[in-house]
Amino acid sequence: MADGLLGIAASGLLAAQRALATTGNNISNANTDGYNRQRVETSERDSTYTAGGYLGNGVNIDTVARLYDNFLNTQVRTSQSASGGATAYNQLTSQINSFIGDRSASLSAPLQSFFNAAQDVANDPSAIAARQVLLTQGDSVAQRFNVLDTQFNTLRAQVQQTLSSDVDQINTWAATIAQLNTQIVSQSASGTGQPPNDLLDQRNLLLEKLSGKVDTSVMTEADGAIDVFIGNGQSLVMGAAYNRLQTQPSAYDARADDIALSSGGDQGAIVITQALTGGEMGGLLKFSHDVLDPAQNSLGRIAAGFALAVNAQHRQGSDLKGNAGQDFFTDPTTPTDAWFAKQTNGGDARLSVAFDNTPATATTPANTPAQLTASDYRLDYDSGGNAVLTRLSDNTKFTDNPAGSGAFQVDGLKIGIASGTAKAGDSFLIQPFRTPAGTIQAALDDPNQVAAAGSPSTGPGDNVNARALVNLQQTKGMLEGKASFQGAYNQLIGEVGVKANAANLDNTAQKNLLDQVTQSRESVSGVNLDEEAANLVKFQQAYQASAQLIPALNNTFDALMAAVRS
Amino acid sequence: MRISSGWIQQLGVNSMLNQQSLVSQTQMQLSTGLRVLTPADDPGGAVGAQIMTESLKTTQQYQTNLTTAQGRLQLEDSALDSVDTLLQRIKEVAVRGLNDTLTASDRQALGDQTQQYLDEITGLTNTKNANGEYIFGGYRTDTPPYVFDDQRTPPSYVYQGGQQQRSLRIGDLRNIEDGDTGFRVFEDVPSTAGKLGIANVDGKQSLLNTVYTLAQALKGDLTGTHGTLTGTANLAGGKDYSAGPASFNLAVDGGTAETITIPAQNYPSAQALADAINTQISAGPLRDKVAAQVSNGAIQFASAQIGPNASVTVSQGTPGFLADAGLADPSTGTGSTTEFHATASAALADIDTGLERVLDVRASIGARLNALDEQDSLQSKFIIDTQANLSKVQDLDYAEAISRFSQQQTVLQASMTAFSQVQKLSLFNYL
Repeated sequence: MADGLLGIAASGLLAAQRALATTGNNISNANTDGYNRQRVETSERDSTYTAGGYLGNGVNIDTVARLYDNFLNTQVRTSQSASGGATAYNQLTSQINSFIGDRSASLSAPLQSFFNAAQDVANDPSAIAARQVLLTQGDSVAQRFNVLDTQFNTLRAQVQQTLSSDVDQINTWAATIAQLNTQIVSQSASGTGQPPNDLLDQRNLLLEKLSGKVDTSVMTEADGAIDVFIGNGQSLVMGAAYNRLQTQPSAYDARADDIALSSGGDQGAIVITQALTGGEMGGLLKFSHDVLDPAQNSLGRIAAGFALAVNAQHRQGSDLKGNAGQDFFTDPTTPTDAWFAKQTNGGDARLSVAFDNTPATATTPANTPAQLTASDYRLDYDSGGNAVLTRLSDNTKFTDNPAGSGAFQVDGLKIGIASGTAKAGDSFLIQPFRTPAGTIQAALDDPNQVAAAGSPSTGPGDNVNARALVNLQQTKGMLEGKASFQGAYNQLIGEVGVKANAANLDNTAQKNLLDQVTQSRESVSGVNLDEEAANLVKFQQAYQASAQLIPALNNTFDALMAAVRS
Repeated sequence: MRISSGWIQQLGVNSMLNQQSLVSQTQMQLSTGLRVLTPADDPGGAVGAQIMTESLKTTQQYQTNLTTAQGRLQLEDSALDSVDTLLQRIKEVAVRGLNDTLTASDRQALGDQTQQYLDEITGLTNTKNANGEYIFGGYRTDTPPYVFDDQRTPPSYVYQGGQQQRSLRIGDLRNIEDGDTGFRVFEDVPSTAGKLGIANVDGKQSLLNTVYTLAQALKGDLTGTHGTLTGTANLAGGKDYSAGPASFNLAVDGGTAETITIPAQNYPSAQALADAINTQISAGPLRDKVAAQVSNGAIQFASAQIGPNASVTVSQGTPGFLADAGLADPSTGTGSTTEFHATASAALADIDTGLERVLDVRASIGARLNALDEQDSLQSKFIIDTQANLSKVQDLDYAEAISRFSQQQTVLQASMTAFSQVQKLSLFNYL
């Protein structure tokens, strides 16, 4: 019986001590990332049957449990993905937004100055100074196109770099998660069935970080290991095994990267670029596809349309020396790097891609720069060897004309086979608008070469062609004849502005959502120091009370001994 | 609800960061004075502002063009005002010269005076604008419109300018001519008296040469009429030679006959035919010695030479043309000496039509200046209205922004205070 009381006291002391230690652990990890607060869970010891009833035997320490809600953590991960994607998308979109609409850095001001300079030449066609100003303004327009294009390319490089560093990061995390899986399984099994709280916390933290990079789904196995899936359910971690993500040259353009998942086996890497959603990578890919490509193509389209129109008009005039006008800007008719053959092509066909300017005839409709679309295209040779051109913006398909020639005259473009032959199954990616803004350059350097005159012999006061150049400012030569060059640029500003605005709102909303679910999770798993202080007091008191049992037992025993001695 | 200590701190930090970003946004607006900082702030407004800025700058350019046109027209008007005065004086001189009581030396003096006036007029026709362009030269702004060529027979004033006038753009779809060619003012002037100077387009005179003829007549250097030969057939409806070329032989002042071939083509008018013949003449040795022109619908050949020795002779080439023109084969027309009275009276009559032309042109300048004024006030109003609209779209409402700024500052301060107060609370302080 005396043994019993001492045992009860000892169990109480031990329980209070463990509770104090756990409280201390909570306090010291209050600011540790991924830490879930812990609690000592106790239960009543089995009681002893006596004639007088069941007699209590003290307290048992069952386990140190971590307060963890799987549902809330899944919500946090989902939200982390959405927020990570929205942040990356917003950050990059707002960069385009700020340089494309900037008062001093946008294209609007130099375009306006160019046309005003053309008006000054019309006012004073024989003045060399006015002609020089027009040349300089033409140069400014070209350079502004170049600068904007460089900024687009810088963003493109930034996206590629971030993607590839994300890939490295994800690979490291995937490896660590697989390793943690192994440890968790072995510790859960080898121990007394107690959960390895620290390892679980670490793994959970990594999952959360992973979700910030890419959308993930998680499945827990019976032995405590987890499987992690990304993209369309491609598995990244399977228990102790993991696959590696990698960047590799895309199927068409070797300079662009695709994301692929490699299991290290024989079947090679599977490209999953299109399947990746959510997280920073999803945001980057969405930005690239939804904002960057269309914006750069739009700019390229304006550059090509503008240079084609100015050149065509300038060639119709005569310069101060009575010579026929030359190209004002470098001829953009044949854009560089406008097509890419798929790496798996069997044929040796090389394409020719050029901007067209064919007026309507009785039998065929016009094919002019006004019809340029800013879309990319894909030329496929089907199994029968027939050429099919697809406009990628809306997947409209065109067949070649005449059939079998592989030649197309659509959307202001002239596409054909320059040399070689294509085989069935060959495919080409056509990007006519990616480079014109970067390659446009002013071609004239002598003010005498400005073709202000309408004919070669009328004299230096002739301003007919200068006025015709001025008219181009208002000519609706873009967007199916619905917009001028400045109008087309304004449309680009509007489109990017709307996207940036939406991106900003979405980013704020996703952040708020993440805050809310994080708060819910924190309410379960987070450490509250005041609560811990109160617990400290509670467990100290419990410890003191249990300790008091020992002198009580001692006194009882002394009393008994004294009675026996006397 | 339980709140973790870390989260309490995070909430405070988040709220401070949010407020700070709002304050910085407003601060940026205040320092730039712009409501819309990037297109994302207000995509519609940003594009609207862009469009307004463009039309504002374009209209301001129109205003510059308009001022240029105004200056040029005013300069032309003042030159023509002087021409008008000089022509009036020449008329007075001519009327005086017609008085039969004058001696030859009196007339000589009046002739010298007329020549003086003519020199002044020539100077005025060669007026340059501020940019050094000859204002009466049409597109040929680099060449003096009038030079006196004493190598010609007879010596005469030659118009070297262009026949097209430059237009400036003064508004959307609105162009205005910034002057008049010397051709329109002095060359393409109807003649009531017939040709006095070198052979010109039928029924038109060259005003400077008319005055020159008057001066010569007054000085006693009378020359005579051109040798002319006029067909009898009315070719006003033109002639169709598309079946094959027609040709004839042409000789001037008894010189060698040259074959003139009219290219196979349908000529819709007598003038077209005359032009084709003149093109052929210009290509050969008869250049500047003879010209084809239209007189009352008939083809007329006129020699450059005047006086009794001047003659024009045509003879048959490919049969057809002479018959078509109503000329015998061969036939000759000769000139004759003119008489002072007839010459001076004719010159006077032509100077009158010249004066009328100058007045017409000045009236047209006045009309253009009025149009410019109207366009100016229209566009000035447009500029003011657009600036006001632009300001509404893109400019900051300072009163609103400043009150928003101070409100945001207050909130930021409050969140900082709240943060520091909450951080002080801890149960550990009481243990």
